[in-house]
Amino acid sequence: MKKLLNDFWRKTWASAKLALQSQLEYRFNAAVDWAINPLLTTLVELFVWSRMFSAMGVETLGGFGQSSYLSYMTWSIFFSRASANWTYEFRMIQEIESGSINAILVRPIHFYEFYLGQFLGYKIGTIVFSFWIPLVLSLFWAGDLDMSRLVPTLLLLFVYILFSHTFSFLISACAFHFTKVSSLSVTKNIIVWVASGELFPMDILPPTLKVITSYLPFSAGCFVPVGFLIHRLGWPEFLQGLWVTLVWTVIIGALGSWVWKRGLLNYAGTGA
Amino acid sequence: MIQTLGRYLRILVVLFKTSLIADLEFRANMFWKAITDFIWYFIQMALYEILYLHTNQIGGWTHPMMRVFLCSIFVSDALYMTLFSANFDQFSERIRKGELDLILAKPVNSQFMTSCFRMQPTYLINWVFSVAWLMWALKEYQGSVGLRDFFMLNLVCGMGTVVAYSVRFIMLSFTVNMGRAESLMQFWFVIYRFALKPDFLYPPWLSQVLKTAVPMAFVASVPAHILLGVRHEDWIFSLIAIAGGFLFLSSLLWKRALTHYSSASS
Repeated sequence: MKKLLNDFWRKTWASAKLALQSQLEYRFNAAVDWAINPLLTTLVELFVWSRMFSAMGVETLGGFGQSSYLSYMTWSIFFSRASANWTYEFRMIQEIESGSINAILVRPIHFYEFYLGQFLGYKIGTIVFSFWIPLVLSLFWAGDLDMSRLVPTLLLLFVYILFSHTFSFLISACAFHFTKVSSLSVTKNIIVWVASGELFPMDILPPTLKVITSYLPFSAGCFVPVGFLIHRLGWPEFLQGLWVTLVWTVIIGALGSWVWKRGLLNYAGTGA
Repeated sequence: MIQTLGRYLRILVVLFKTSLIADLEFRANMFWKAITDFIWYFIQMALYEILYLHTNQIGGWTHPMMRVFLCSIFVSDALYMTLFSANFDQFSERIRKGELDLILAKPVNSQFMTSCFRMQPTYLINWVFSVAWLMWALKEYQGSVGLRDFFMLNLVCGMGTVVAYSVRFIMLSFTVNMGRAESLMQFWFVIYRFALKPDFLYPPWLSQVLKTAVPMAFVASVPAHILLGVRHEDWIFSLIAIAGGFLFLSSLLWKRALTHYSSASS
């Protein structure tokens, strides 16, 4: 068991370093992706929502005052960028559709492991270089943020990244069975964008929808960690988010593994 | 001039047909693409449906007025997605793999070929749906709609599409000489966020910027104002002038970018 974990860690870290090196080949592109775009996106959203509050003429929105709503938006952009997997999901799908997956199939590393490493490597850059943005901006809303909750929040982020990658693995495995799955991927990502709480916090949803989303793993990508960090949510909701994400990771992982194995049985990698 | 226009129209029809044949090879994917865009439309609409549960006006705009604004975005977006989106999303990859050279070597205007090489006819379904939705939203607001409203909305939203195209193409021109510029191209989506909200939400100085240097207000906000009668119909001339001006600017900047372009292939 220990040897298996060591091997897994070594291979994952090796592919993570590869992803980092690949990103750093084009340093300007990496700087824009890791720091400039997150900063601009955050500033635009903060600006728009502060104006929205003024235009609506309301003091609170779904229980959020303007200050806490802006604090939520600041952190939600960071967490959603840290866990989103559009890029690598498309790459995984393209590998299977084009047949270039053959190069990975003959290696002593599983497709899942390889891209998990790549994904983690890419996210290390995103997290390290854009973490300062919500941290600095939160100085303007210091009352909301609880730094003592940062470590468990980052743990939840890591668990959610694992779920996100597992879900992407399931979607990409469908490429063995369908000629084109890119639209399915886009549909899934749009649904995750809403259900995670990035577009708006789950608190402003009608009660029935709010209950449904609490049993789905997507809110652990944004709403639960951010809500926990800014004291909107307590430990019960946080632990529920963590537990739900772990359970769904196992379910989706099992489904993904089954779809993958069925796909490999029918796969013929000629001419790649 | 008329002969040239006729020639480009014929080429456009051929490109459309080949794109349609390519799309129809994967019918389930075609269906899902349309559904995905509908989901995006519903999400944008749902956000405001939820906001209007908490208030009855946003900046003096009632719910029916906001629906007209949103549907204007959808109509412009559907046209943009049909004609240009696929080409722009692949632009950086085309440069990196040297596929842009194939397009540049064709005996037609390179901006035209780069912009329209691969269309997505699937989204015409979304355009039809969006136009119908906008007509319904206008009827909810003003009580009745007619043929004039139909032509007006297509004109103003069409000009909005031209503005969005021109701004994006100008940004692409700056990335021609970069090896990898996906992140810079993502910057477009940051700017596009300004188009997704009515311009009255912004302070006067920003509203002016969005009507001049970065004319994102003309994508949907100004068209919606015209359709709602909030702004006088003279604004149509401003809309056409801005669309034409930025289209011309995009052409100038593209030609300038190509003078410094070095092929990645051969």
